[in-house]
Amino acid sequence: MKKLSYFIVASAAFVLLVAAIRPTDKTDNPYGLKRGTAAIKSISAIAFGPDGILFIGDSRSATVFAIDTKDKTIIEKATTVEIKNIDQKIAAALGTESKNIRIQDMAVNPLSRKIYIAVQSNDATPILLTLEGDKIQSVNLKDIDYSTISMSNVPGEDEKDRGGRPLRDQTISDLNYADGSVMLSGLSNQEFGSTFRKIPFPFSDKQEQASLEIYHVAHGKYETNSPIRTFTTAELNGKKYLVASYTCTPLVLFPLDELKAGKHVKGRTIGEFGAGNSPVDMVTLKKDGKAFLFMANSNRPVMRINYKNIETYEGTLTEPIKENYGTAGVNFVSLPTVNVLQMDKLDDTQVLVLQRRANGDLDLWTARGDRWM
Amino acid sequence: MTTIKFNNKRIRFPILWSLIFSFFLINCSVKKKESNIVTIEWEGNKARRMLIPLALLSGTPRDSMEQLLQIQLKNTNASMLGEFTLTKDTIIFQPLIAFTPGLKYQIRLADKLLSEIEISSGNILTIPAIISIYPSADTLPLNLLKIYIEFSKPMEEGRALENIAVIKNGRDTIPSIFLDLQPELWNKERTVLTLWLDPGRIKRDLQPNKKWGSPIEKGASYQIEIKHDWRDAEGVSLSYTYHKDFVAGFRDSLSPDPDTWKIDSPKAGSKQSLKIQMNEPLDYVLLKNTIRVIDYKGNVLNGVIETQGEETIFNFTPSASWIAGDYTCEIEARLEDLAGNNLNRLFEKDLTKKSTRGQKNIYKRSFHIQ
Repeated sequence: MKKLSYFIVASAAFVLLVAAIRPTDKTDNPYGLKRGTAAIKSISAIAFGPDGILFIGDSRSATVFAIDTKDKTIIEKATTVEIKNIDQKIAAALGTESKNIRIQDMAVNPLSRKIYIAVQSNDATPILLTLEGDKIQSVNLKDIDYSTISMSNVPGEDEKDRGGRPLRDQTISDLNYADGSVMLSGLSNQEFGSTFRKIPFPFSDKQEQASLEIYHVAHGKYETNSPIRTFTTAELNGKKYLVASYTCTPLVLFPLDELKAGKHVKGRTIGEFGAGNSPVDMVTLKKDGKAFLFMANSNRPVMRINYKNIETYEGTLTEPIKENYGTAGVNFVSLPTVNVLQMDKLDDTQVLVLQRRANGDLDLWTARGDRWM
Repeated sequence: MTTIKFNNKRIRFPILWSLIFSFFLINCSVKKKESNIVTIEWEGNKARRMLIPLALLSGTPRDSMEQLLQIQLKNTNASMLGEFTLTKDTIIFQPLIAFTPGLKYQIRLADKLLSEIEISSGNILTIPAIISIYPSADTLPLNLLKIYIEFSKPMEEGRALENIAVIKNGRDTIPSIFLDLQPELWNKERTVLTLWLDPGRIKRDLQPNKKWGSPIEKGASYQIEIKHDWRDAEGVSLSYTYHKDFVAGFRDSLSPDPDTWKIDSPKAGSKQSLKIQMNEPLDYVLLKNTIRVIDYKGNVLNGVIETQGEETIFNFTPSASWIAGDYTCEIEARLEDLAGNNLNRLFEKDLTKKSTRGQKNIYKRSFHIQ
């Protein structure tokens, strides 16, 4: 009897073991995620992908994480958000003062419309928070489903090619998901220049990363090898494009299908929106079948650009701008909203705005799209 | 007198008993007091966890403690985010970030204040210092592209431009001289910061250059001021305001040319340094990252790279003694001078002129050890 019970227990254990090591069904795990603790060392940029997957660009560990937030409840219309002194509220939830934290990035889950905020403390601890109403909660990163891809290799150059040369530090300046790929712009802290990577998701072992050094001819004969500050993607005249903006605010188009590994792509500059400024974030909204690009800036108001104008602008700016602080190319409209530090689409009609007010307060509020368009 | 009394048997007995009783009383009260004290567990200089004795929560069912317990920064109404762990006699609270030294925290149970604790400054914290500012020369090209600041400790991020000013001729602070990059460009240890002078202002004919001119003017004197308010990752500020003076020299419009460098070969059997004199100062960080020494078998030599002579000399000290034979120095094309001209291209490249420079990824110089 005792032997029989041992046999039953052993058989049950065997069945469980086989079940545990059985390859996971692709339909259960379409993105090839594994269970564990995401060892995130820093959060430079965040963006949502499909099915509640949140991409986290970690400059310090030179890794992109894809984490399953399991936050998939579809909400069409988001609740309006209005939180004054958001930095002080986050600091209080972390048990410190606002001078000891920094809001690194924020992203809205396009399914649940929940707001995710990446924060960094003075001692560089990365924290991922969510907002539910005005309640701040932390996002659990332990025992979650996630996958990673390393950015430490220079695409096309393996360890042997590098031959003992140290890895280069890259700081991720922006990250977006579109068209089945995570795209990220990176800045070197050594040589002057930017890299742009297009990494297919689900991440593969092959690391088929496209990398390119971007340059554009925007100012007559002089080349600018300036780093991309913010970007988005758009379909223009039936073709997909990367819409990128740089310091000193040129707006540049790159055909997405040309962004391939190792290839140098020359962008087409379609707008110059003023010197002494850095673009911060881009959001696309639609109204009555018309699409508009909104761009927040460090030293200029939020700008509105009609995609129709981008589509019909066929030229490339090559002449230097004559007038001080002058602009050229595609028309844009300045909105009466300044000092926007972060911006994301809350839903199809609303934009989430993190703004430094004239009195120094840092407020999170919702801009109505119909007033902006 | 006391001794005499104590020697008296009649009073010795009650005194002994009262001493024993007092001992127990004191012992009990100390124990009781100790068991109600909230303590902080440190990890190095970080106040990482709060240990709350369960005796402080007496009468609260174990399973509802986590729900009812709130840790708050004093004068806020927000419960801190973190994780509670229940042990036999303690409930441990680990916040998402370490407690801040100097601040007071409150332990509340269903809004009732149980205890308050101030986080001490912990261990004596080292004051951060600036080790170097690169380029270290006193005369810099007027089209200088970037500076590096090297600190002795990891620093806080995101506040560089608030803490740095460049003053011209001892009078005028130059506005917007550096590119405002967020996130800032730190190395992984957060001890070296890279700052770019606004390239739009350096490149001739670009609009910012026309409007404000080159950020640096030939012949003018400049002072980089790094304010003492700048804090490190532990919240400790620099001890004083740092200054670096320099004078603007000529525009540097030439790429570095490794063929013109002078190599001083060390002797075989020694561990002497290999010295390469480069005729001009080159980028400090790139010098340390783009040059390697290779033996005739193709092995990369281990050793220490340093710069000397205000970044005009590359100095390589090998870990093992030199063996007689042929060696190669491999230099990556991305190595730049102070104006951002690399081995292949000028920072200010004239696209209408065909480049006469090569497009190699690696430049080589050989030398012989005997």
